[in-house]
Amino acid sequence: MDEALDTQGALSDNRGNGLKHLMKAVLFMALIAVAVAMLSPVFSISVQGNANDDSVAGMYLQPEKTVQIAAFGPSTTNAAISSMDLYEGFGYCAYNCATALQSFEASYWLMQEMIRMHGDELKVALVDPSMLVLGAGEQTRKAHDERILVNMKYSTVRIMASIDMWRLYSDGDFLTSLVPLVRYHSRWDELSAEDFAPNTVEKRVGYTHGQFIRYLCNAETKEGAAVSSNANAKITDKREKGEGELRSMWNANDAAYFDKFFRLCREHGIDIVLFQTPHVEWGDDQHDSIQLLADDYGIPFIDMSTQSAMDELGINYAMDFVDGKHSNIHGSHKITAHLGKFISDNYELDDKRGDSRYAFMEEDAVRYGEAMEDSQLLLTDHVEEYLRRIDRDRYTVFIAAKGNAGKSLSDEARKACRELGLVNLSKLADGEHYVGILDGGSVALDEASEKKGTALCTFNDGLLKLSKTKMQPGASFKNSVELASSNNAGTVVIGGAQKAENKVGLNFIVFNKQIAYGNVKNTMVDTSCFDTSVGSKRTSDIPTPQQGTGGSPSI
Amino acid sequence: MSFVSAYFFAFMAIVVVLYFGVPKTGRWIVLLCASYAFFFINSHFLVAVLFGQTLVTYLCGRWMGSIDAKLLPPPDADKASKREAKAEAKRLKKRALRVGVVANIGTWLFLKYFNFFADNANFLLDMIGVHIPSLGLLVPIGLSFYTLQAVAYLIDAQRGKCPVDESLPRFMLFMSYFPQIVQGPIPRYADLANQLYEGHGFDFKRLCFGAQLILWGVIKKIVIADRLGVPVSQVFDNYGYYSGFIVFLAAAGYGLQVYADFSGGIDIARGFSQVIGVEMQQNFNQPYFSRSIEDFWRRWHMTLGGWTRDYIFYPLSLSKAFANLGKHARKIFGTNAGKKIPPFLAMFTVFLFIGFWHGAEWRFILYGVFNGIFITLAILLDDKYELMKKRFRIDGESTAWKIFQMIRTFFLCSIGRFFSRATSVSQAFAMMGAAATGFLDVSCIVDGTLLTLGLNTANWVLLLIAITALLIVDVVHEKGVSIRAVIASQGIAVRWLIYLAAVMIPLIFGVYGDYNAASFIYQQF
Repeated sequence: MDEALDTQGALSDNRGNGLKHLMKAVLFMALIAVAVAMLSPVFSISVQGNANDDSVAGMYLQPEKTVQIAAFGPSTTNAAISSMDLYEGFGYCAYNCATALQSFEASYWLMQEMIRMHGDELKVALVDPSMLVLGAGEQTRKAHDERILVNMKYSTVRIMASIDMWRLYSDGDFLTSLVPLVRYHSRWDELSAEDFAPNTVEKRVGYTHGQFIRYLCNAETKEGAAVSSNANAKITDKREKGEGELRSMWNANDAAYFDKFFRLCREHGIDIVLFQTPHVEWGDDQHDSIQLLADDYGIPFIDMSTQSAMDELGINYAMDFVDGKHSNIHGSHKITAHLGKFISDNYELDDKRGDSRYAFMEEDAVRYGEAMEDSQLLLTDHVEEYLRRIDRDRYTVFIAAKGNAGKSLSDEARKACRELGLVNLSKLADGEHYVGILDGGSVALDEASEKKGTALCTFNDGLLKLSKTKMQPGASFKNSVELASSNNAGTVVIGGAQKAENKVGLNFIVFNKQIAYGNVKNTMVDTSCFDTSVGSKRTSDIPTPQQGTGGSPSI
Repeated sequence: MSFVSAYFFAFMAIVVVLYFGVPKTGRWIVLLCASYAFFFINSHFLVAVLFGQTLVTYLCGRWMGSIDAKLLPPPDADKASKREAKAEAKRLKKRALRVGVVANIGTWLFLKYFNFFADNANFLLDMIGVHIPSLGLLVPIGLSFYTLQAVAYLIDAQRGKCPVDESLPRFMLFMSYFPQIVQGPIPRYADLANQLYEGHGFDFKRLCFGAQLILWGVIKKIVIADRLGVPVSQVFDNYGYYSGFIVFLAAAGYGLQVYADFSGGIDIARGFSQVIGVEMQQNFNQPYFSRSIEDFWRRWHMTLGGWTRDYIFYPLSLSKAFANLGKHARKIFGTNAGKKIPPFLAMFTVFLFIGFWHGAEWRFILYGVFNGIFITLAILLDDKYELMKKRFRIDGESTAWKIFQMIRTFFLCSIGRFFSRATSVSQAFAMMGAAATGFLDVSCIVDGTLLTLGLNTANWVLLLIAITALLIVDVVHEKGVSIRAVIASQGIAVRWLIYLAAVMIPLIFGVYGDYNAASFIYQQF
């Protein structure tokens, strides 16, 4: 039957109710908007997926009209600028807005949001200009811009940013930029419980005010093996390229948006400080090019990637950086102290310490203090002290012995093990193998045996679950943890990747449950090995303070 | 601008707002501007081709109108003079008709088929050293649809079945009405023109009904058709690697894909039209419930079927040439067989045309021939069928027999899909051969083969659910129930829940964005 015909009967008696119908239509559209807004974060990969982008979502956790300094730039900036160090050292309230490969259009959007939220309180913008000269390809830029938009709240800024996306990229689309569900809808068949879990941004970057802290160092990750010293510093004070060539190094979009960023700041009385953190890809040309930009705009440029600056700051690449360009908590402390001093010397910002409006900073300082304490694990050289330091409720510790780990385990170490509740480790005999897990101050696993030792569990968002079956590759595989102990192995395999040092002795991996999510390496507080077959010394490749060029990284 | 793009929805919304925003007398102008804008966005300067065909058709129509006016006998004229005047008018109008049909069909043949003819002629001409070069011809969107529409108008005008349009701008709207120009339905002047020219008032319920039809069309297109297209393309594009039942499944899947795709596009066009108060013709009537190929073609692409019936089949069957052919055939083959030859020949011509209309390739012509053969066989063997049913005591009206007939028709239609989806005749035959090899081995359904065709388990489950939903909707329609009327009779909570689901389902489960939603299959015709 032709449906068109039978609809005719139903199409009568419906005039004269214009207002009622209009209200219905508006209400229904609102219902769709709510449904889309609720589902968008679930479908968006970046909200839960990338710590580097958390600073955008975390921006909205900051009390309004409080931030004096905002930092913008790529992930190297996110790693380097410690808002809490600026507060504790200088009394400034800062927020680190930096995100992975942040383009200048993104910095511009975020600056607009910061001005909207903090108004006249905002005085200084710390800007890492490296994207101008080390920019990524169009698709990479676009992907990162989209991830920032996903994390921004709906406002006129976000709508205008979506229009920017449409203008800037050949395949840019206003709708997909504005409505993340449209962009990420095809993830429906891969959604897992993680996607529906409450947003955990607060626990990761709430107390650090935007910074995602890295704990490991080059010597542990080996990612910066090629730059384990300060050999990357290439600045020679020798200008090789002409002005035209140096200007041509600027990415056109970034340059245009830097100009908009500059004008916006000037309009609101915000001073810009350009800075560059130590970076393996940074050299004379990049330095000269950015110096030219700084000269053009009459703004300061602090390049900490020069040899002299690194020496002055006491940067030790092996200890202060997690790879060739991202500083860890130790490097961040040094870089932030340098920039803080520059701000303190050149600008007049109020000291907010003791101001009741900034009581939240004092609360966050307590948690930040724990982070500082966590960072000391990296510097702990003896197993006895290490065992005492891991006696914290916030830790989950995986232990796997390799070889004769019990042979020279000292009495003091055995006592520390007993105090931790690791009874079998405290009695570990010569020739025995061992796997153990401490979780939140309790013993989850403590197995010693003459045979090979193995254990399986899952570790996700700081939640540990022992398991009897081996997890197969799939959606949750990244959460699987497999411990093994034998004469030839002391391994902790997470998501299929070996994370332990796997050296003779006791191998440790320490997570802070409060900040752990997924199991990405950046959430590891420390990975270490102590050769207890011959003594109690740490055997990882971390150089002693005397070996590095920058002195002790203690903070 | 795809029918399922955000731009098209924004375009439709703007047109609706403008349409109801201007006085009723000017609403057709909004549609005309929108239609030409839509055409220009899609085919750029080829809009000149549409305008040219429209102008020629309009002028031929006016020519017929002027003949009528000039040769109109005075009221007091005797019967003989009236008859004479009528015959003269008919003769002269045929001349106008010929000019219009030749201009339209000629344009269509030239733009769409010149290279096909040239390639095939070159096969012979190359032997004598002559070569017709291929031309880089561009085909405007909807050429095959609006050409048939123009021809139908001219024939109807010549037959006096529809009035001659006096206004060029209005006639331009009839020829270019944007919801139907992409893939039909192919309208008749008498059914559509006045609806377009009248200004319709706003009706909220009509807006709701139209929007529902649009959403259902979008679901069919991007949730079912484009998802089905993934495994279908995998098999057809790599046919050398597949054999047995999976190859047949791909052909059957393509049939469903085309149905969901084509009917989805038609639903969007009809839904939009309903919003502004224009009722367009149905183009599908649950074709996969057909009990024979003949029945299938009555339910599938109904406006094309209607066009070929009215403008090819009947004129041919009732022509003097075919009457003479019937006489000769009866002498040679006897009365019974002889009288069947003219209608069979007319029908064969129809299916040859349908195949040819689908594209300038031999596989499409064979697709038409394939359907023609099965319909002919079905009619020829009808007596044997009846005998067989009696012998095996089969109740022709039993549900089981009907279902058997539907499955049989679906199977035969699926075989025909090898021609319409393959890229060449040789591929079609190769795939038929591959399907026949190990056809009965249906283990491919459960042995994981399906998961190698580009869809994971979740997508297959979703596809199965969506096709089941499509089937249920068709069953309900077949029973004569209007789902939209049933929804309208529900409480507001249920209604809104359904509406919300109708919006969210394509938004979440649609194949678009990264998947690069395919353009409508029938758009190419």
